[in-house]
Amino acid sequence: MLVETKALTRRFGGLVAVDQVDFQVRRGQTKALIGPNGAGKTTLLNLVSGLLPASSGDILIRGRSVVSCGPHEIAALGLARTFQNVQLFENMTVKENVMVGCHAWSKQGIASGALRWIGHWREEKLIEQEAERQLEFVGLSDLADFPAHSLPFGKQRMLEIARALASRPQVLLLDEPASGLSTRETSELAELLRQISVRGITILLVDHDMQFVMDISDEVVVLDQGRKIAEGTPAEIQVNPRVIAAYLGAEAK
Amino acid sequence: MDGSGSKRIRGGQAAPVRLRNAQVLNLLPFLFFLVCYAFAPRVVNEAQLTTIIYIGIYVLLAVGLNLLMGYAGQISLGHAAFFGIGAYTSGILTAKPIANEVIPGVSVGFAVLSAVALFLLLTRVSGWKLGVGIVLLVLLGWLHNLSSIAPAICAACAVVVMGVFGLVAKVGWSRACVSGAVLAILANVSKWFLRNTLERGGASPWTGLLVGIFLTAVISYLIGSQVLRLRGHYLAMATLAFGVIVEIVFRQWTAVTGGSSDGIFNIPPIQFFSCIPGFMRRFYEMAAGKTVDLRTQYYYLVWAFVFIAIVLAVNIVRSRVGRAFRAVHSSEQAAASLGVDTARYKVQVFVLSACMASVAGTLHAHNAGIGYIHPSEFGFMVSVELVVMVVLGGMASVWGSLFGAAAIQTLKDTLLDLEKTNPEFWGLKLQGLDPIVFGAVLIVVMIVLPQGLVRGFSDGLSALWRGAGRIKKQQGVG
Amino acid sequence: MDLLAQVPQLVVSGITLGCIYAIVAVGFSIIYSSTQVINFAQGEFVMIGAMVAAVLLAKTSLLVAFPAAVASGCLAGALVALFVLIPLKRASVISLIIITIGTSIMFRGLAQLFWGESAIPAPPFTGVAVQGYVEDREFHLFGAYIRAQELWVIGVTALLVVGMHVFFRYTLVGQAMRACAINQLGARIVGINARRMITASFIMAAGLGAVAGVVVSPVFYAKCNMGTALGLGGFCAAVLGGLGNFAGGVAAGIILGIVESLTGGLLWSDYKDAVAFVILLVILLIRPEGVLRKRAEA
Repeated sequence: MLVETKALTRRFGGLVAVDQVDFQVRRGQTKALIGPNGAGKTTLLNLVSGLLPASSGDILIRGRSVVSCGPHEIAALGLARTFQNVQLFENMTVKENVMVGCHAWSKQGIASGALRWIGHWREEKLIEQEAERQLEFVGLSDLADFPAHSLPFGKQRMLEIARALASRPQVLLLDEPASGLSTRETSELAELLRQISVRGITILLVDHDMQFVMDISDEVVVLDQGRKIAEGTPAEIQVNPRVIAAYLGAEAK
Repeated sequence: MDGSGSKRIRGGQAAPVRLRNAQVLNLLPFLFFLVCYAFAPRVVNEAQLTTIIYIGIYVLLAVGLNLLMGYAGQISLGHAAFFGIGAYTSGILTAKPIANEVIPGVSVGFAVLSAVALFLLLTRVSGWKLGVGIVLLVLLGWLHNLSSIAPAICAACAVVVMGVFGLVAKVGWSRACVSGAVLAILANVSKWFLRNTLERGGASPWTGLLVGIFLTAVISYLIGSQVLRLRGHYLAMATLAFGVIVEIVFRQWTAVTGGSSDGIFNIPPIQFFSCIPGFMRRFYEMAAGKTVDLRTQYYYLVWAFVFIAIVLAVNIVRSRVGRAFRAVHSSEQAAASLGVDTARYKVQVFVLSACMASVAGTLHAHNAGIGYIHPSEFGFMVSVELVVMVVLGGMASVWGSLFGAAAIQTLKDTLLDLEKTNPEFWGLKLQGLDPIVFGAVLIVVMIVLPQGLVRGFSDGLSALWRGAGRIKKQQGVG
Repeated sequence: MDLLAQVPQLVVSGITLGCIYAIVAVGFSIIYSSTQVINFAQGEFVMIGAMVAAVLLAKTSLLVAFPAAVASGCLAGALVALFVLIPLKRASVISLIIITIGTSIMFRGLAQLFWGESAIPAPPFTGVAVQGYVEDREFHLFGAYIRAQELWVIGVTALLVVGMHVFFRYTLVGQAMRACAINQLGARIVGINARRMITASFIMAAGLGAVAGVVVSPVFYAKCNMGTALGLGGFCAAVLGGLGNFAGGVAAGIILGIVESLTGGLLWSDYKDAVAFVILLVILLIRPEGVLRKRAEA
């Protein structure tokens, strides 16, 4: 198991946003988390990536409990993520954004950078190569030297994915990657995710776009009001009565 | 120059500007800087040279603060405190050695501070464990102050007590032991050092510089590691409070700092030329075109530090760690999710910038022909002045800081000259104009040119350039 | 024993100081809750009130000086809102901090320019004229001398706090300001003019500060650099009591004043100016999570 949660719970005051959720992500699969609005999908993602501390329960990444680790420690274990509202480093260029992504596996400290030791040059070259590779992969190489905030929204999404990939993750967490994208951009994204999956990177994503989710994922977990109500292949989920009820119920409200 | 490339123009987003990345272009300002550095004493007179020395000192401060504020996005309204710590440490050690009766207290205090910093650095604890650790270290330090107990026993006590505490609190016994041992060692070493200094009637300025940097690093680590958990307004208020407390200590701790009535005077200048090899000396003499007097020497020294600081700052900004700083500024969440230890980097940049301020402080204290420091030079207004320099030059622009510091220092001199003529305006004696002018500068710059004068002008120019290019193109097409 | 005998006196002066902190804290809260800005110039409003009152009290009566001082405070607040905060677009927290600091030192510089650097004594409101200068009445209570002016401070503070409470609870403008605080967009949709609300809250906070300055000027003397310390103390109280929580801020302000006065008087008389700052630092360090929970969105 690459990622595993055990009875994971998160409370905000009286509200239980994530309630006793158990689920596993196997190496190499693409798994999706879906559910009606307010089901706790993003919260769950934030818990797994360490941005929010869990109220109780446990999170294992590669068999190691990370429930008391900070987000940077979890990132060092090979987990990268993107955000629902794209969080780029706006004061940096496109390429520099991706270069920050290389932080997890590079090592040179402040003295090395300040004094330009040999290790700095060597590593900087590696970082630059990696950044260029990832930019090319998502098709942004010709925009490398533009400031990140000047990109159109769809490209910002791609940049965020490239940045996450630059950290050489084993598992990639995507928070609503398709939201705000046009139909064409969404299908491009699906293609890109398939390629990422072929590279051997595990994907855990949250999204609202059913077509997109069913299209690319191997397994789907359905959350409703913080609880896991179903898990299975896309085909199984589509006919699951509890899932249908949850969605219909949510829409009826 | 920093390559960060945030190109926004007020009132909407600018058309994307492709940023140059040519290495040669980045070296040009350095070359220009070096030429000016070497030949400046040929063209300026004595008074201007003094001003330029002051500008250099403030550039050091502004570059350091810009790393913290402009790049890492953490505000400090107490930066003058570190400036002062550097100045006072060096000034005290060289000109007014600590009197015999205060030596034990000072050295133990210094040892406790360092030990607490080390304890924090090694164990990274917080909450009650940190509190108990500090209390223990303070008590053990107090033990060192009792003359009836032999130093060896004190040291043994320190190591054992901290070790036991480390075991009990589960923070690693060896690490806790080390901080206990360092407490004992430092307490004795600094006692010996201070006595020695007193006997010889003062240490060398270089020692002062190093001790100042060390002390500043310790204090800024202690403060930074706690304060930088706060954000925005709270961070600003906390650093402000810290700065004011340090200034009050300078004023009130008369036994050591001379208090606010005297200050410290007769601080010897740094004899720069006796420390460098002969060929450099000849080079400087050639560049200056005359025998180099003390003031000119000092000018060369200060600006050598400025040059080093700018090179270091530019290098850091364009390195892995520098990118991490800028990432923290932009989005802490995203940075952390990519493996950036945000807390650690924030403290790192804080300590770095404090140490640069400390170096500036030492240089300020030993200023040739002046050699005098007073608490009022390190107060809140100075911290604000530093912020004005950074803001005016442009946040996240190392060369901008150079410009900002020069502009503010010149402005200060102009105001001083103006006030000497006792101007009157509608019967109002115009005195003490600095705060009004600086306040106005802050407000106007923030509203009109939030990216600072340098960035603002270069943006404006490039917009003009693009505009011209577009017109040409249209004409070509038409 | 000698020290203990001072305690009642120190408590009295602590309460006086605490009342000022309380008013400043309420000012912070008003501005923060309608604009999410921490106004670093808050202490300067107190200074302006105190200076104008001290200068005018020497020449005219309280009936002229009081309204004039409060009016000039309000004017200063309006100027800050109209010419500093509203023109500032795309405000990041750092630029808000910088710009309010700029305002603060500018006010201080102007005050120094007009009225000089030295402290200006002001006669107490209800004093007895003795040989050309006015001496305050004193009451003896529990081993402490209480000056009539200190009663004025306490009374006016109480009045202001009750007034504020009534204003925000029961008047339309007050409710609009609270709505603006909770959700600016929503407030705009229902037709509340956010810009006017910002101006109103600054005028109110500044007016409050000025009132505090007027009543306290006979106690402390008016000095052009009194604003920083009072502003920070007030901020400390506001944080302790919870930003936006008036009652909490008032209670915290008075407690803070007493603690500061006692520690300054009994423990570290050399460092009594630093006490407020140490308390502020300690509070920010010990309760960062309590503080952070209510922080403005960066």
